[in-house]
Amino acid sequence: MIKLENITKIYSNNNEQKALDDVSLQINDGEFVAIMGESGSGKSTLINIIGMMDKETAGTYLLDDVNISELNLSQREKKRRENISFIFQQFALVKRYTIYENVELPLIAKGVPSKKRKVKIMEALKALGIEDIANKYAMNTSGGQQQRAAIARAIVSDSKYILADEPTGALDSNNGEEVMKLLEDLNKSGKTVIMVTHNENLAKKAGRIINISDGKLRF
Amino acid sequence: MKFKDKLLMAIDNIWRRKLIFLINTILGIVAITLLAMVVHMYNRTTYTNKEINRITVLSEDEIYFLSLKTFNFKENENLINRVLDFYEEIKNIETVNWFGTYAIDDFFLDNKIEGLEEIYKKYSSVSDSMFSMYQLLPIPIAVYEDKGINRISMNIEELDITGVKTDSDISELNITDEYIEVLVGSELKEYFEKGKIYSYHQSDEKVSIKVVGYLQEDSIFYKENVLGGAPVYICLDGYMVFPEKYNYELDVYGSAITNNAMIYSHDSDIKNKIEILSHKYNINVDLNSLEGIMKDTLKENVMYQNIKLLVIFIFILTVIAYSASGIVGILTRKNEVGIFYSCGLSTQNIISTIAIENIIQLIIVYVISALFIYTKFLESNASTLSALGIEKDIFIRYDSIILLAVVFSILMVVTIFPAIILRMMPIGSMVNDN
Repeated sequence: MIKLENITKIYSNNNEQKALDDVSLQINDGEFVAIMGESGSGKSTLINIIGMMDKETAGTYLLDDVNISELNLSQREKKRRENISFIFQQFALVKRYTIYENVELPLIAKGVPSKKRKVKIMEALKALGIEDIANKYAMNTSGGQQQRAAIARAIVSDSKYILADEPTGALDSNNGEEVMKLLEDLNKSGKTVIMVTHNENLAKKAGRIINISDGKLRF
Repeated sequence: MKFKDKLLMAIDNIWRRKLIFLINTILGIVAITLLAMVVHMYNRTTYTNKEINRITVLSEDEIYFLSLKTFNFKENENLINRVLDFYEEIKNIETVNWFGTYAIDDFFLDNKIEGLEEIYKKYSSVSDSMFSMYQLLPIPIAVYEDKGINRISMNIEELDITGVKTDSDISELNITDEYIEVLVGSELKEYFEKGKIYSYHQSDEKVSIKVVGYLQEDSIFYKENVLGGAPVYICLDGYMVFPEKYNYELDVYGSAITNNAMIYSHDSDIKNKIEILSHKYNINVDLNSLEGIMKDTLKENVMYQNIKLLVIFIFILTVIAYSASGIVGILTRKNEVGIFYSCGLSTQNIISTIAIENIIQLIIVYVISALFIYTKFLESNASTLSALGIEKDIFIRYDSIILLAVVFSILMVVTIFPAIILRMMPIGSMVNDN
């Protein structure tokens, strides 16, 4: 379970801009939640804080009853590594790595032996139908293939929470549909999926929609 | 993340960024080679200048070196007293601030010449300037009858390279339990018979030599200039050539008898005064000012100094380029760092992987530089490099190695530093940075 209590995020620039303002929410295990908002509404900031890619300025963040706000950097990194996987709009693949090597990264981070890594990676690639491009460099693959690779990377680490920031934003409608289907399948398999989107049609595919505007949740 | 995975990732990153790695490696090799050259030049210059500057801090033209040209103490015992009186009068000149003598051996055939020792006891100067003076002047190292003898240690090959010929087919000079084999210059032929053994005392030790051959007349030997600059040429006619293994410098430094002196005075007329005294005591002397000696030497040093400055300048530029290349390399990998981080690699993992990349590059740079220095390139340009004051052994000097290690450790930290700064930025934004 993810629980945010009175989370505020202020970016220390000249304007002291509040990206999130007293946000409180709870996401239960197994949910598929869509966070919707316009550009600049704070949705990416929210998902970054949930994913521990950024730290809240104030408030409390509880992940499976562990107070993330009180953890030091290396403890937070460990928690993130064990529980959270990301899918980004621009795929976030290392272009000069092959698909295989990109998918391998989370397993390297977890210290999984190389033989076991191979098994898991090929399983994930097969599940997404991209095992034949395993040795292709990411820069030489299509957007749809790259996003599948990103999803394979999320699957392979077997994380409890999947955070997707505009996962279909850089894809055409067909590929976008396929990616959404994959996210739904992941959710059905028991993963908690949190998706950021500005697309209402995509948001409707989620079990719950959270609206955010100017850093505040709207109900 | 396991160390093996970090290492493999680091190697993989280096391999994938070959061009950047190659550029950095070339910059590193150039920098490390230049640094070694600079360190060596600096050490050589400061070693010699340290000694000279202790004298020249007073003023170059106020230092005078006095060499006795007459050494015939044995046949002319009165000479000892005259020298003593001569020195005493010099010392008592009001405008002489400092007067000291330095040592040479007395050279005899089982008979010690005590007169010289008496002079030493009265006027000996135990100071570092002694050693520097040996480097400035061709000082007679020994006295035999009325002849001043210079000593040099080398192997026969060095003589061959310079074209110095001997009268016999000698391939090497040996040191046995009984004697040391020596070659004798043409001016000393009449004093030393071939095949005969002579002995002398050096401090409390008896040294025996056997003359195995003579050098041809006008034997000119090329020797590197310890002050830097163009090499000097030594006429070996008044020299004894000892085996290379024979420790020349200790031998000279440990000598106990003197016939040379150094004078420090502000008096612009001191040269005349000493010349008058030398006539008074009927002692044949050479009197040279340090300025005069240095003038010729320093003229040749100007080019050497300019080259050194240029080398330092290029070294600094290269180091800046190497650092900048490393920093730019890191900053252009922000996206990659963000991706690694989002995949679960910790800050420590990322920084240590980058550190391993830098260490690998550093090692490769260092190894290639060392190989480069020791290749035929150096061998074939030995004389040019020697004129620049650079020797082949610049890497085996411990101070060079320590300095090189320190400098490149700093460079390594410099290239890791941006990675640490990267971590302070929101990783979320870094993932999308292209």
